[in-house]
Amino acid sequence: MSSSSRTDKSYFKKRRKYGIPFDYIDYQPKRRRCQIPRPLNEDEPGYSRRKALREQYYPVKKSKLKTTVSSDLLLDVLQCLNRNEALKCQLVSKQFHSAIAPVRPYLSLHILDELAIHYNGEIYAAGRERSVHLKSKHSIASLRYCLINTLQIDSLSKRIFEKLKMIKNLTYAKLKVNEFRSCQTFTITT
Amino acid sequence: MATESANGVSSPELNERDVVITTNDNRNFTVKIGVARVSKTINNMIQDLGESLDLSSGIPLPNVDGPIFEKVLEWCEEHKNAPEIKVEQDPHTRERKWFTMTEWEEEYFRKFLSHLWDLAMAANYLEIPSLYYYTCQKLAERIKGRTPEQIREMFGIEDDLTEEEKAEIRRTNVWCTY
Repeated sequence: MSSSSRTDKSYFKKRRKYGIPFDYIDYQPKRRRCQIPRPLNEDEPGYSRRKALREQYYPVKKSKLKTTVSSDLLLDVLQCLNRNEALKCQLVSKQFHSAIAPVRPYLSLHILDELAIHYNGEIYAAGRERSVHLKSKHSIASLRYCLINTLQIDSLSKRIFEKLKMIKNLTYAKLKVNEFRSCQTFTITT
Repeated sequence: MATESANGVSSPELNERDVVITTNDNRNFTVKIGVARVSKTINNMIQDLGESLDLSSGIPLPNVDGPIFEKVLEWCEEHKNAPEIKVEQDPHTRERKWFTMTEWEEEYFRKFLSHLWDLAMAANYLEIPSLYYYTCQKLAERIKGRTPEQIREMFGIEDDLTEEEKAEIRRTNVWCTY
């Protein structure tokens, strides 16, 4: 399915109806404006009943952890773990999330078994636990935090060359590859 | 009050002398200088103060409380002659290599399992690399293989992230499996 059709409401409607999970990797939501908090008092202008009910039934809980964990300390703890385990901690609390977010570039790298670029320019990445079809720029950019065991390309067509150039730009030329494999033999000039 | 000079005596002799350390809850600890010197912060204080160091009136530690300092001292006594630890990481994945702990160290952390964050912060302030990195490893060991819910429960943290924020985090971390 093309990315333009994803913005179509029917795509989500159908998926929701039949219980098909959304492809969250390639779905980029539109940037929203900063939301101004609405007053919870009924008399004030801009009162939202929905928000008031949400606050009533789902009040924001505050962290019990008395000590504020610094980013440096958390980085030293998370550097002992693989990237998956470390990033998982972002879901613990706001404090953890805000401490981990700035240190993400310094965490350990993901290990990808294979990154394949097909003749039509499509990119597939196979990790240890799952494989992903990389479409969005965001998902391609995330390759800079990956260690790729094998990079495989079908042939060096113009399309593939453009894709490689795009990967290079998006990852700031920080793609780490152990082995390069191809169906075609290349000369030095290519 | 007798004032003793820290510079006037040779180092081995000085290490056998006692110094009073005052924590932020006004508790005084009488410690051998050799033991206190495991902490680089205290060692620097001793060196900087030099002749003006008053061994009996105490070195103030405003960022550490008594109960935690007691635990830190236990570590320092055991590691006073230990060599500096070497922190290594995997050159490819950048993951830190884990240290092998002795039986005493394992027992020490088992005893103070509920104070690991405080211990790490105290070790960071006092600049005790061995205690700091070992505590970090122990914390990582506790986090490893657990779900965010289990981590929250273990450290007594309440969930203050909204569902939207969680969805956004999941979307951003393309390669993560939760």
